[in-house]
Amino acid sequence: MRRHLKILDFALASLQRRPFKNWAIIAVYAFTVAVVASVLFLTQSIRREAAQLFVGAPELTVQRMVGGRHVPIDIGVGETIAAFPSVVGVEPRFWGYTYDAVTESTITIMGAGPGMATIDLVEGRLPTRPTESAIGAGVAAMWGAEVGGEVILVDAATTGVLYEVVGTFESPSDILTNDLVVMTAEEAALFLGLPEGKATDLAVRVANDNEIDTIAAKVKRAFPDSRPITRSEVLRTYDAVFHWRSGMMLAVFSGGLIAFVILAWDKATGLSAEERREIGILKAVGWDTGDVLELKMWEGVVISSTSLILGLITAMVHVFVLGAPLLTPMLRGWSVLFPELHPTPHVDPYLLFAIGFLTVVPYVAATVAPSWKAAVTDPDEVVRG
Amino acid sequence: MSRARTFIVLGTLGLVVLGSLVGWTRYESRRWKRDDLPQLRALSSRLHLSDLALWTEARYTRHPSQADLFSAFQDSPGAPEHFPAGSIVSPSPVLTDPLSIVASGSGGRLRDAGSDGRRRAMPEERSPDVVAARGSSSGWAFTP
Repeated sequence: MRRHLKILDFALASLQRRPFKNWAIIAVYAFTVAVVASVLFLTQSIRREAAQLFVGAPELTVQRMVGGRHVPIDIGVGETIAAFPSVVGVEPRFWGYTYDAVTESTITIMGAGPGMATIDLVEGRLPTRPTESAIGAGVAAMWGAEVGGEVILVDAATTGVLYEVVGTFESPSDILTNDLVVMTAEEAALFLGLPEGKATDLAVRVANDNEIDTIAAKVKRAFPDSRPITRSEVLRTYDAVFHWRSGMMLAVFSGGLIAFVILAWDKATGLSAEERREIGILKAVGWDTGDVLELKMWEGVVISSTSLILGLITAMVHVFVLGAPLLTPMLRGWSVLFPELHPTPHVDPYLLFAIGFLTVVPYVAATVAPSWKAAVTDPDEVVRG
Repeated sequence: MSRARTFIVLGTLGLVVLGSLVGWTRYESRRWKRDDLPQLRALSSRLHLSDLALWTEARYTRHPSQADLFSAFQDSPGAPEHFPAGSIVSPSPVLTDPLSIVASGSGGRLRDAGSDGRRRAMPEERSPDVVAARGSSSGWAFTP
């Protein structure tokens, strides 16, 4: 034990002789780990949030497709679907978008069917009359509106319509409601210009989860122009969107990984003349090959474990404490109404071990491998170069 | 030996900070599940919400799960993708695994020529009772 500590002490002294170089390596290495870990933490957190949230979404959504496009569906179709065994209820959804030219933002209009007007996470209540609305935090902030105030929206006939704000959605629901303007279902249909007897789509409640796919198949058979979307498809969508292998996240992730590979490759491709001379002298004064390799292993472990711990701490603070401000611009794109991200803190221990294994092991190997070549060569040859 | 001891102490301190952060994330995760999740689920259920309000750039980015089979470039065939969010979503599995189209059973069988002389591929035979059930009277908020 004492011998190992002595070698560790020697390794630290050796690293201290080149402080600028080694601190620069630690900074780059820790930054790389922080970038990769931030992407993984953020995507995992949003994916998990979506998976938990949409357990409350309709088991089945039925749309009508014409020319490959989603078009309003006959409300009467719902009556047929409601007669299928295991279907608990069918409710038409009236939703769509309106563009606000002043703020250049697209707002989502959602009709609230009959039900409880007061609900958690709404300051005030949901609208019960055609002249009322409840708005998301993003919309409220954009227009400076609050409960008791008014908002003007441009409807399908390009007429400005005034709505009293009777409720605002509270901050924890931002990820679901940030750009929403909720009005009564009848008013939403009128506002969006949906023809009489038509809805945007139908929400279907199914009693038994095991029968959702069967009901979807029945709906498709009965109405071949329909597109039933099951809840598991919704969940799969978010799983795909926020999977680390997808699109831009992959670009950031692979960028970080490539930076790390370059760093490790630089170490693996050879030793500097100074390092070779150091190994030669150690061998000449009586160190055996095993001691030299242990020294190099400790150097690798000190650099990589310091970088790993610093990188992981930075990533957790960046994503879960600060709300991922460096990744948000990439996620935001051109969205004017983008919610303030508060990813629910969640770290899978498996992920930590995976990041640790993928970074520490290759770096230590890249440090030890070239040293082994120098350590087994004759000291005289090594020192003379 | 003093350097080695200092390194071990600092390393342990770093691990303690990291461990505390992991513990905090687990606590916060449980708190979110206990306090916020039931309310959010109730809201999602009450308003029939099916998507996260993240990207308001285009209809297929605001509601990716409800879009006309989510794919980039869908606003205009052949046009470059307009929206940054479109590049976040992974490509269709068909592009990376052509066999998946066979596995998904998207084929069908050809129906005999109709009066217009066209032969149509039918996904499945329609059952007579389901066909008869179509076209019922209108109304909304149906229950069996």
